[in-house]
Amino acid sequence: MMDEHVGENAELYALGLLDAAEHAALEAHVATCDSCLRWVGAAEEAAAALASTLPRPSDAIVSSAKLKTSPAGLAFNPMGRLIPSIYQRSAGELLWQRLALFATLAAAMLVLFFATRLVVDRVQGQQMASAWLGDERILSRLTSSHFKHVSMTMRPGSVLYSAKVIYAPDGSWVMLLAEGCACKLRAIETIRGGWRDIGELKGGRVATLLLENAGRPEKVELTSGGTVEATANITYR
Amino acid sequence: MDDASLVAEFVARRPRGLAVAYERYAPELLAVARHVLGVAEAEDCVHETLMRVWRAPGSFRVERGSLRAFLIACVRNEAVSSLRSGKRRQERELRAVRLELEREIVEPPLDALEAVRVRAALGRLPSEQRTVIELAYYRNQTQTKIAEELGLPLGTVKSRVALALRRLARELETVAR
Repeated sequence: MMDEHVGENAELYALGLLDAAEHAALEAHVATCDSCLRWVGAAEEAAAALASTLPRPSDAIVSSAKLKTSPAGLAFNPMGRLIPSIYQRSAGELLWQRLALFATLAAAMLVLFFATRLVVDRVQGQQMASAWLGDERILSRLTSSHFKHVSMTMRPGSVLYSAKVIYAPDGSWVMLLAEGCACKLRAIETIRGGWRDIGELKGGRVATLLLENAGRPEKVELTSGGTVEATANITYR
Repeated sequence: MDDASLVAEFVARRPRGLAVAYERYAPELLAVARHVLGVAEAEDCVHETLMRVWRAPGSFRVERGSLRAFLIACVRNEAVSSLRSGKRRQERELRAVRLELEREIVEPPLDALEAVRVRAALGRLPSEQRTVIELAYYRNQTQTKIAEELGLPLGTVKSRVALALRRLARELETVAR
């Protein structure tokens, strides 16, 4: 057979009718004979057409074949049990798969972060609104009197997004607003060269502090953990 | 992944080629194996065949034809070999009964439209050729068994089977898709 062309054995092979020795001889021959290889391929194509008439395996059979747990315990891999035993992945493939895994995890963390942030912001926003609406002193000051305001100068890399000082033109009251930090913020005012701690800002993402009887401060600072996060010099008429 | 890319991946023995081939052809391969061995052994047969073929360098070349037809032939040969192996011979009678029971359940063919076309092509074969296809493929009989059943010399059976499959290929080309 090794020296002869496959002849009718091509069709017998395609239908599974050759014995082991004939089968091996055919495979050996087509490995070196392109014309017989094509002949066998044509016979395989005709035999494969017959497969379309066979009963379709149920989806359950096909699915169970895919989802078998592997010896390595990798359930639900797309290849079922084939993957662990034959996957001899190259370093490049491993790298790409790990990068893909990392990117997926990073994307999931980003989504989780922003979703959490959205929820926190809404909760804190509600808290802030409650604080504003609940603090009649602040509302009263803002509605019943004239006021000036100045943006505070942020420390480079500050934990705050922005901060502002709203104050009475005569310096009798000062209100501080700081946005972007859920940390503890304390306010320091400087009056005639001396300074004093005037209290902790309250609220959520936007924290506030109203200081009545402010004493006409010349400078106000916001500190967090001993670090000055924002500074504003106050000017009066 | 298109067919050409799949063949390239498979021939290069990349795992992705094997994975996609399995995903794409599993229903057909399982059907072919189940037809010979029954449900219980079909899955093992398909897995073992695919692994063996994929691992063997040069087992498939594009000059041969389609990867699908090649894999179907491999699975059928593996299934038939398994059926006829000595250790399984004692189980054959029991399996034959079980297969008959399974076939009593009416199931749609793998590809209904293609099945109509193939049956039409089979219908155009001379009856003696159609008979050997029926015995060899659908009833999984050996050449010897076919020769006994039809009272023909073994050489005649070989020739008739070969002629039948070649004629089927020609008829399939003429039957409209």
